Amino acid sequence: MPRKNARALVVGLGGLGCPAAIALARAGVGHVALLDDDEVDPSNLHRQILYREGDVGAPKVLAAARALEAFGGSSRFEPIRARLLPETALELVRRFDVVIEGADNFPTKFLAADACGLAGVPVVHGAAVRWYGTALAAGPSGPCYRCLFEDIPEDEAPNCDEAGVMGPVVGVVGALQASLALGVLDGQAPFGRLFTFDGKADTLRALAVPKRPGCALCAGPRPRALAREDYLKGAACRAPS
Amino acid sequence: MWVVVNGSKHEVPDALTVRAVLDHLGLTQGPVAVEVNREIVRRAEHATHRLSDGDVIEVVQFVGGG
Repeated sequence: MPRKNARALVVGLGGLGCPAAIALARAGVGHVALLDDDEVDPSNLHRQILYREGDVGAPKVLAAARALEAFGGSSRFEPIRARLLPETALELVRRFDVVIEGADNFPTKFLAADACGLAGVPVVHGAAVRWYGTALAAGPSGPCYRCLFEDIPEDEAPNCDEAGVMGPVVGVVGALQASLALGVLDGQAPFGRLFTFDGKADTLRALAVPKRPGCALCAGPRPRALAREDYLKGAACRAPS
Repeated sequence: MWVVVNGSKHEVPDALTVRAVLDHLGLTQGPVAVEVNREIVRRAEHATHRLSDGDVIEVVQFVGGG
């Protein structure tokens, strides 16, 4: 597919979504949709590189679209000021050729995985906390995010506001997500490899992820719809109030 | 026995479980996903899956930030 005809959705315009969106736009992806319901907070500025101090308080998707448009180029940007929701996620992701998931909370990560799996849309997941980040591209037939991570953790897993995120780590992981997404759009199949980046040890590892028998998303009969109660676990990653 | 964890060789007591090896190596911060010899060991089985000499283990931290 020529990149100018390609359509990408970036879920979460935080530390991962910002560099990923920049890379997609500058690589000539024709349509880049930006989904986030949050506003720019001063605590975001060290790592969310589309925003400047004057954007504090503005909706992230509007500030991001403005910054991306200011660069020039031929990409069209579609800001969507919303959360990814079980009621609308399937319909939304079907409009795109690839989804980049850089959400800051587990329910949205699993919802993006499920919606893309059900809709048959490739998705590139990213996550980062402190000095550590991961990226995984999942194709429509798996292996998928649930093969490896199963379900929203019951026990405490760190998210970004609780633990903090180093700016360079999300830069590495977000750019890697864009690279994987461009691979998808260019007709390669960069699926089933999990990348881990350790910014303290300065190591980047690629690990083959096998399909897991019994996986609730990509093995056996798939659920046909997304149920809200499946995503009502875990806390969102927000500035402490 | 010897096992390889994230590319590094470690000597650990024989027949440890996945969970015990994680504890032994201090990999105890938050949930992890684990592969042993390129097969995923589910989280519920980390405490019971016993390792053998020469096993190749990959431990991935399960993080949710962005």
